[in-house]
Amino acid sequence: MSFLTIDNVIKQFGNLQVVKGVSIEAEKGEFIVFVGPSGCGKSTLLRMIAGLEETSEGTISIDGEDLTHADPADRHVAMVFQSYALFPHMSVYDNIAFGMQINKVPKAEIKARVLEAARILQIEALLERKPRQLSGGQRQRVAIGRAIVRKPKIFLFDEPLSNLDAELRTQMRVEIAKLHQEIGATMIYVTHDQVEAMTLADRIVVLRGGLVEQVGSPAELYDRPANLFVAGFIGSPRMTFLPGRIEAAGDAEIRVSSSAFARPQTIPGPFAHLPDVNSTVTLGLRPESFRIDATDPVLTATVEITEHLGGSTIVHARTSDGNSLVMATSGRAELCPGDALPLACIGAPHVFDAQGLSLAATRR
Amino acid sequence: MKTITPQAALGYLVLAVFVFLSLLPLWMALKIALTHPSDVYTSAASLTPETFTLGNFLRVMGLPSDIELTASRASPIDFMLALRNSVIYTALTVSGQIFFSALAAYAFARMSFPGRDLLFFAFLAATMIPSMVLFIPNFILVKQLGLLNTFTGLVAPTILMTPFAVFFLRQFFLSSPKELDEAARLEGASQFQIFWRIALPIQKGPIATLGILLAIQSWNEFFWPFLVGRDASVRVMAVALSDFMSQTGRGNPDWSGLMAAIVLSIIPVITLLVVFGRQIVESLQTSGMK
Repeated sequence: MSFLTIDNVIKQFGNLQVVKGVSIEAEKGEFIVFVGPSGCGKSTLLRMIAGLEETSEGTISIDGEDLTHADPADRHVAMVFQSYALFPHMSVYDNIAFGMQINKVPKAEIKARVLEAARILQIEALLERKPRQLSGGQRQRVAIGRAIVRKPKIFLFDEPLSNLDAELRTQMRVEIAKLHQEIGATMIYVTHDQVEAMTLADRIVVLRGGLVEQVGSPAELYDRPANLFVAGFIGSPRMTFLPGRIEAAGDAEIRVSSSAFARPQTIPGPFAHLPDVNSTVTLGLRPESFRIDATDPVLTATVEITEHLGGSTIVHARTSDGNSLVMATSGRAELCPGDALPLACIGAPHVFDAQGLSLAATRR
Repeated sequence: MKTITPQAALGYLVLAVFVFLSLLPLWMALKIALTHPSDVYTSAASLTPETFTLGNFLRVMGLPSDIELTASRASPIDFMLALRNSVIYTALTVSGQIFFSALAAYAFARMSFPGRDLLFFAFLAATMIPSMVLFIPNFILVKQLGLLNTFTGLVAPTILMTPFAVFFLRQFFLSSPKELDEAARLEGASQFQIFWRIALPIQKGPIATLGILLAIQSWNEFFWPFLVGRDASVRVMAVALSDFMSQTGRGNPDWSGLMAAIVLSIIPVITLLVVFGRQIVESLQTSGMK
């Protein structure tokens, strides 16, 4: 049995079902990220694990114990909130020590554990300060410190970096990854930022509309998205989608044409299911799947905007049939709006059927 | 340099008139309190005391004074006893109301139980009942309980809570982030521990404001203490001042003594307003009560 087992949980608010039967398993020490757009139920699911929301149906077990309806304090979980939820009238020390003080842990032990957490998070010098005297990043560290000292079975993070500026967010992301390496605890992390999900997670759970769209490692989700939604959500810049049509379908390969392509493309198998010949499909290409090739271009696009990121360039272009296309290229591409861009594809495009499911992968 | 428009000048003028009209009675009370009793009528038209003396204040407080009066008027009231009673009455009312109102307000703001909103609206509706209507049943109840002329009887109707205090604090509890309660809950705090150690200390500003408002209200409370606390041992300042009025000679009241007592009695209230005035206004604005 897994360390954390979420079995077919449902959350109902009146007539509104926010989580619609989600099952997830996490192993001890794993870093799981729930990712999805606003309103997909990821925070609600996290709060259900914490016990802050009642579970309408299904079960939640931690370390083999069914804790579906247990009090939050009895679940051995610690949570870091988006707003940090630091007690404003208490010093940093008291904020970190609060839970232990409530549970009447001996003072000497409280002190030792607070100092240890402060050392790990490098906030020893801040222990006497009040939260209002701290920067956003420092507050975040204190919130994490409050979670660490409890030695929980599972750490829950609810969009902990969303209130920080871009630079600090990157820095704290690295620190959370280091912390996970250092203490090796099971962590469940909620974010709507797919970059955070990709960089932190051992496994990502992509949610939409209260349902799991796909579970997998960041590489799996990037390389083999199960459906159009995951393909579009994971990866930045976004995948380019082009309309296509099946010319020929066989177990070993299929041939697809597109109004954007100069000639049909061959997609090698194996396939989870074969589409009908002449059926419409959607072709997906990652930004790095394009390269400029004037000798034998597969498609031609017109440059609209170029974004120079220093070491790489993002090119926003429009295909001959009017679809938007995003290409990433290393180095500094000297392109101007209006330039014709002859492109070849590196590797085969992802193919999604009329229902939006990938022909290559059907993991859900 | 900032120029003042005619409209602004008119505004300031109107404000100045209001300030003058508001302060005039206070100033007149102070002027009479500083005037020798024999000169009260001769200097009535003047805005300043003709003969300046602190004797009225001294004799009101029962201290030796240079003002010689007849025995019946020498000590108009037992000022210090009335002061003590007012302090006890105010302290009991304020501390009780804040504690119990905060408990109720927190429950209305944070806990979910059947009929919560209905109960709260019933509570709010109670603010519309004129206090006069409640005096008679409350008086009969306190009398039948044998609590007349006791501090228990004095504070009985108000020590638990008032709709105003509950509504005022509920607004602040509602505005404090729910995550704080949830964080404490995850740490293992009970509902009362969350209230006592998190919710209440965070609201110390509004609670202080409420305390000041309630203190001013209790300090000035007259009718209820007048009904149930006539005995000197529990008679509060407002009642003592009124008794003093009725005891002095008809047609020739001891105005200077009375005004000295009034000035002394309002010093605590004025002090509270001067020191905490801004905080009171800010808290009232935040609570949406004004």
